[in-house]
Amino acid sequence: MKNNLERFIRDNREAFDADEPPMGLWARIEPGITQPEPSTGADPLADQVKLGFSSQTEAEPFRKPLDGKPFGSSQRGWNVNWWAAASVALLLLTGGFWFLNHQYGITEQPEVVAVSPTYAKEFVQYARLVDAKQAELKAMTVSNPALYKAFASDLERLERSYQTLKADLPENPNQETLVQAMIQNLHLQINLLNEQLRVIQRMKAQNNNTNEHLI
Amino acid sequence: METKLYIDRTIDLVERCKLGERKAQYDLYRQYAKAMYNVSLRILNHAAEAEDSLQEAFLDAFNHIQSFRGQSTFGAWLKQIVVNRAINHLRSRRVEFVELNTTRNADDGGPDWADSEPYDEAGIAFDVERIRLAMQQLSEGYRVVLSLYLFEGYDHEEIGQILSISETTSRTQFMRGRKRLLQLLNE
Repeated sequence: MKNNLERFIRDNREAFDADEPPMGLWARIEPGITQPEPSTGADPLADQVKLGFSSQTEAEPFRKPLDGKPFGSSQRGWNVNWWAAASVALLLLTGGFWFLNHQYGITEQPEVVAVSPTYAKEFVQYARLVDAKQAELKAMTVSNPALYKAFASDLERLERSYQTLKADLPENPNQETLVQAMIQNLHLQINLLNEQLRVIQRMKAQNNNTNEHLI
Repeated sequence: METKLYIDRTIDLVERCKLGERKAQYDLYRQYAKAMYNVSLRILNHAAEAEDSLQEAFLDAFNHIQSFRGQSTFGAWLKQIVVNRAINHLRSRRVEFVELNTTRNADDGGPDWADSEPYDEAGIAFDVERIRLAMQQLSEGYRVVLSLYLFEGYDHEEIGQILSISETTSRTQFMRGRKRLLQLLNE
């Protein structure tokens, strides 16, 4: 029975708030409220910014006056610091996100990142390699569109099977195997591109040779 | 379901206050004025001062509502401001929250309850009005700690931060204040 008092107060908490606030208090408060600047309105990033701070931060500004300083004198100062801190946090977050995105391709491969973060890095590297080699191939076959078309149709077949695998990913029970198959597919694409590039290089070398012969 | 609606309504009001909507500010004031006035009054034990303190607290809240980011409820955030404002008023009265481990700060004529014997509260019939009166009779130091702990739900660590005293001091102060309160109730 030690906490009788605590229990009684808890159970009757509302009855203790019996005093009515004085009439006319709002009339005294209202003129003192400053209108917010339009730019500081609903900031969609505000909730992200707070991630960088401890849960104490929010109440902090209102604890400061306890040092004995009058409350009003410190208001302007912390307002500025708060925005500076928010900017720094936002910058860090953006930078961090860019880095992670570059490494793991969160926006490029959201399905894969969700299923297997460990493979995501590998994925992005291969996908980037495929893109780079494809661009190279395109550049080398500008003079020969027919050849590019033939090469592209080979690659397209692999790409199609890759897309099928990717579409299966969300509901497949054995996602790890599927992700591995996708990586294998990317491997094949890279190998194919490498072969195609080698063919073009050989053709170019041959052309040069015949040209030299003609001269 | 009703609580959820209530919370949603508050969130909506806060958002509209951030945009500077007068009506929303008034609605939010109406919603919290009574509870917050009682918080202020319990700490200050003086109606006019509680009113001034509350006015400042509401101004602080509305003028800094941009810094409220929903990490706690709006009520908890507002209460923190109200409490801090009230404590500042007490400070301007030059009340010192001294370390009570060595000195005694209860000049209310009661015995010193520094010993750790629990007060026998089995025979006390609790009553809201009697507790309110007894709280008002307590010395300032006891009243504030008891008020923050029993009524506002802060723990001793938080009270230590609010009053710039150690957690242990808050605990000791509370134990003594609690005994004094029970004694007053038993009179």
